[in-house]
Amino acid sequence: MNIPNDTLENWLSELKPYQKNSLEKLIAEYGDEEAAKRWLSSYGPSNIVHFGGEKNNTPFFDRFSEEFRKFICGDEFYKKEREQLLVESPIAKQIYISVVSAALGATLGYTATLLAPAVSVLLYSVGKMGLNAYCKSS
Amino acid sequence: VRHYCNYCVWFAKQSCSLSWVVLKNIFIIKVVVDIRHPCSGAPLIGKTVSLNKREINMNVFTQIVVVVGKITPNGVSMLGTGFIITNDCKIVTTRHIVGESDKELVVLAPHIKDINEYQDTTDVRCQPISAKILEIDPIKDLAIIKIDANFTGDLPQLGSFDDVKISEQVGIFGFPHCVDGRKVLTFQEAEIGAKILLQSNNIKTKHAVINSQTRPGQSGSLIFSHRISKIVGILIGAYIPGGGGISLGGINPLELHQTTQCISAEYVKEML
Repeated sequence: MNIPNDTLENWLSELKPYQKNSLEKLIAEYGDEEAAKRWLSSYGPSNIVHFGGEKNNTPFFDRFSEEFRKFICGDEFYKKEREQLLVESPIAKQIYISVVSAALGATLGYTATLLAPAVSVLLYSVGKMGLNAYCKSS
Repeated sequence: VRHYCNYCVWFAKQSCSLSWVVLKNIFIIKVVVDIRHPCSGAPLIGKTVSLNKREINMNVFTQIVVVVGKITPNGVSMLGTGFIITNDCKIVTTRHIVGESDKELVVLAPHIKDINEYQDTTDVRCQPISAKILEIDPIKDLAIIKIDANFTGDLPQLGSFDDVKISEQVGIFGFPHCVDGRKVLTFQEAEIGAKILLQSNNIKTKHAVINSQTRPGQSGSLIFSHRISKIVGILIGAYIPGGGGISLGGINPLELHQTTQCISAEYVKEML
């Protein structure tokens, strides 16, 4: 895989405006990885008791980043999905985000829509760092 | 109009404009009357009288406000409220209701047609319709889900808390106590008590405090302004200091107050 080394702005421009606007603010405040983590773990404003739903308190980001690393760094588990990516050349950033989000979502039991902004931020990091360097460091 | 015309036989000859806008579910009648002396033509009242009357057909809410739940081995677990916002049946609700996955996610088809019907609380039958998550905004605690259906008819438009003023009356439509297995579409009316900015991960968003006590199941309820005939907010919960408290018989005393927190409906527009 050759993940493009593009600007953060270009990666985020692949998202919906509501996702992009929030991610930009989170990244400016907390940095890339922490922004992705906060996006995935947020349930709206603090000091609010919710009148419905079932809150999932299971720590999630570590599982998410581990599955992301497995996908990006060539783990056998995601071989089929990576081959799906290689069918298209050059691969658009939108395709990267969609395929990775869907694959991770299927494994983790999360909807791809929720994962996509976090995936785009991590893909940006990989592109900036270089695939080999990312896989050695993570 | 007829009443006034019978009262003053010369009234019909006076300047009188009538505008009558009829939408499918909303009737707006506006009468502007300018009464003058029949001989001199001098204004009798001294100023123009404006009369506005709005009559909302409440029954539309029986069809668009729905219970959101998940199918479990024991049946449908009702998790909160949502409402249809587009004719292809996109439904607005909260992120904390839908969770992280649309596995087994359903909405329950409407169970009444007339808001004045007696809702049988012993009738536990329901018609679940499979739903998919389209959008989730965890920062604002909003979600858009969709069912494979079509809604024919006019739907209330989305507005914002910018459009309403403090002390103005708004209506709340939702399903209080549905998380306890009770499916009763309930209307409440209360004032806008305050407009506030709430913060999530240092991102501030527009909310309002509604002066009404609400209960579990009402998350996702729509907040409707009769004055402008728009949905101005979505109920998300109640303020609770420190996010904590204790449970006494399943009730957290810190939740029991009349300052319900609702997010402005404007944020839904960018998710559709």
